[in-house]
Amino acid sequence: MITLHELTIKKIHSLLLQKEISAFDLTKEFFDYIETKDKEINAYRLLLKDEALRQANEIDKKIAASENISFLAGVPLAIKDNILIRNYLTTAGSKMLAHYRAAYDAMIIQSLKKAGAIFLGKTNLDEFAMGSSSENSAFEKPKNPLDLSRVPGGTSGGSAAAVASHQAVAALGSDTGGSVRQPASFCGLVGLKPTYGAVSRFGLIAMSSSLDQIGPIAKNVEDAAYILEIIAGKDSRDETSENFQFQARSIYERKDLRGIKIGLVKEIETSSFEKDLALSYQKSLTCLQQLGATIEEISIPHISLSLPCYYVLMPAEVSSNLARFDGLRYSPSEKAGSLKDVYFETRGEYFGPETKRRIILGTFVLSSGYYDAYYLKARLVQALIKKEFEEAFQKVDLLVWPTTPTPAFKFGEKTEDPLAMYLSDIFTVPANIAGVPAVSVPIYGEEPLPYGLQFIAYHFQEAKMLNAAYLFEQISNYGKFL
Amino acid sequence: MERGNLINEKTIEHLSELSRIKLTPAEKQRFEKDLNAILDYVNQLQAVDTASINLDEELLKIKTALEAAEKTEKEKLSFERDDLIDGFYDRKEDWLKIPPIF
Repeated sequence: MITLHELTIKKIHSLLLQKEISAFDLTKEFFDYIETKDKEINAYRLLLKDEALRQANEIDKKIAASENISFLAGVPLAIKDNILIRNYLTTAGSKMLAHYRAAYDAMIIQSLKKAGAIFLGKTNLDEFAMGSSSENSAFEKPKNPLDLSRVPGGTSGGSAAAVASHQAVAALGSDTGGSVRQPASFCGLVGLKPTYGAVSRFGLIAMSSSLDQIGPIAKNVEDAAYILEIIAGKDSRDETSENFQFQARSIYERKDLRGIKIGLVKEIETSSFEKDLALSYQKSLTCLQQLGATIEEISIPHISLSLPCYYVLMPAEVSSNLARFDGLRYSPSEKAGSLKDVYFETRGEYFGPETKRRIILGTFVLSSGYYDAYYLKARLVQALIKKEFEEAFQKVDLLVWPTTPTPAFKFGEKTEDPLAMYLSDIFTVPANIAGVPAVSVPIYGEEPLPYGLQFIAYHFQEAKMLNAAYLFEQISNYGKFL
Repeated sequence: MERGNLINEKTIEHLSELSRIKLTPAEKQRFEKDLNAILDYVNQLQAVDTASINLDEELLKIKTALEAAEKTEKEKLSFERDDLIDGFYDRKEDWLKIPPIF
């Protein structure tokens, strides 16, 4: 019997090619495990068992016929429930879409299907990808497998929880302000947010269109790289996507970091880090030096304005994107009356509090009399921050800083104070604001709960970034799942 | 910075109207408090000197759909009309059935 805990994409590919297990049996084993395990974790919203087994059968036929298979063939993945899979319910964690069946596959789903990946199911998330803990889900709230009294992070909490509890080998999530990296960090996993435009958003339910990106959550950097290779690239149906081609093998290019300059942003004050984070962070910097990297201080003067910028721009885009949810088009509401009544009553009842809060905030910053002072000003500050990142990357190859200020917090700890919840995004949003790629890898201090170390690179420099992250992972040996 | 009173009951009602979201009295109170706190926090943007930024120039750096038009082949959206109609939560023939709204 295969121990699910030991599986990675590479291992599965080898087992399948050597015919030590069939894709069908492997997939079935996952579903058997999910049947008992997920009662504890609540990672999954919907399981796609019949379709998954059918997909697995197709892979087995190919293997039997000695056909070439991709390294993702037969690999069981979990998909965040704001990514469309044709014919299946896609709820975005909201009552508003409780009955919405997707009419088409997202681009990444098409790419992953073509590579032969298996979709085990859709995972729970904060409603419409708004939150930092997955507590805003209108359905089940996923738990952190490392400590069930704690959140798995958000908004891709279900995806992270599925992988961390070995109910999937890897998962896909979306990251607008940290929603792939933060849950990965909270659950001891690798989470990657690609450069804005590297991955098509076609079939991702839009939250903040100029910031959203789809990214993988995996047990190691290698697996994240394999997934990125498949999902990246130009898509004519998403005009913001770029002709970006990424080869997973680029993570092996350098054997050390000699000649690589890593910048530590002086505006991110390490003196404010809590004790265990400071300890794990220092250990990490030592590892990077051992790898031969040159570490130097760099300034991004307005980096701390990323968060206020984000909480103006993102709600503005949300208020626009969520205007389409009216109780008529995508999913029925029971409301009656005039057209305006139907809108008011449906949106009033079917949207959760955080969703409502952000729509209202967004409506305010875009409204007459306030647009210039808020929305326009935020765009100007964003442009300034982008320029500062550009200048920084002229001096260094990579930046590093932690993913979150704290490890996974307890359920209910931040739900009373929205601003406290928002502030936990402080280390993740800069990469979204600047559109640059960022990857979080797990690091540990002396306490049992993990933190995350982020590597940040300039636009489309994923190869350099993931190569460094891979080397760091090898030397720091925090691969607790392997 | 002093606590702003940028948002009051009237503003919340106006926003509720604009965004077509019905709010309960409790929610109105809650959001008034929340929005004031959040706007207080984002106010620090005001102090940033952005005189050096020409937004038009910045926006031009973002590729537009015009450039995308260079493509000779445009991939057609692959779903059929039937796929969309089959997805309707309630239907009568080819029509999406909704409650009477007029």
